[in-house]
Amino acid sequence: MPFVSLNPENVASVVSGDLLARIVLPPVTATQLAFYCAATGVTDPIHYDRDFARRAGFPDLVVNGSLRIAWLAQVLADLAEKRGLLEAFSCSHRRPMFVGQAPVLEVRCLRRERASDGLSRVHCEAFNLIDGEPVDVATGILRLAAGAMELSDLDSGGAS
Amino acid sequence: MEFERAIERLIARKSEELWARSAVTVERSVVDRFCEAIGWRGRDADDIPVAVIAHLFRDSADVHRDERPRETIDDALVNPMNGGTEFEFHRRPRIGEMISAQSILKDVYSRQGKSGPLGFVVTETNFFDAAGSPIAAQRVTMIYRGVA
Repeated sequence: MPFVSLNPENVASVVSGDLLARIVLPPVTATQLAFYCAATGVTDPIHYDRDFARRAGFPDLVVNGSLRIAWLAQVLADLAEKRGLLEAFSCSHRRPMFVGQAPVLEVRCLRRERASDGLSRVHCEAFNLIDGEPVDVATGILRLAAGAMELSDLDSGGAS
Repeated sequence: MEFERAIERLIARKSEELWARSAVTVERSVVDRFCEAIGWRGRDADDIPVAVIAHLFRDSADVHRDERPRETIDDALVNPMNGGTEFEFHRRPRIGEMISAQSILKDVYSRQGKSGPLGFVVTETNFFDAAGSPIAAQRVTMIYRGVA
């Protein structure tokens, strides 16, 4: 299961299209959703009351959009290692996700660059896949720790 | 017409402050609960999940067993869909620090959808440290459906 921490040793070998992370999470449980709602103050019963969710027209409990965002943002942030930073993150939901489904989180490199501020950045796309189909699509910009990418690695305007 | 009037009312409120809160401490217990809820373990004791900042300012849970919370920004607009979430991070928050937040109505616009008019309402919440320096910003787009 790949997980490529972007550090000074390996970032120069990362090219556009590379799979940087593939995380297979266990199927979401009703207990997990109830705990998430309690931890974050979410009150909508479609996330923890199965009868209510069905009366509202859903086939089962609905996985919180903010939980799905938290997963994808964290996978991206972890790639930048602790000295780096997930600078920007954008996520849209393509379809609802339900209890019992097992998310597969994938991150791929779009491009890497050294910006005018001298800092190295890796642009990524990330997906939450259910049965191979994306239910969430995200992009992220990772700012790497200083020294994580040498100028000699790059073409003008960004390598890869 | 009520849908269109509601969108016009909101357009007139663009840039208006929706809420502001000060002096929320990043508590270890809150962060730990969030980590457990998303199934994430930090690399060390200081590692904080990035999305936790969006949950520090929620009001206390008020459980509605017989109806969904009425998420709306105008009485004529109900049952929105989430049209997307964006974050910008300037740095990671730290355990024990005080954070303030301000939310504004960032943008409002309408588009014609296949089944009728759609209203897009963008709210932006900015998070600041005790010195007033920005830590993060979150933009959420909610989409409301009008009647065709």
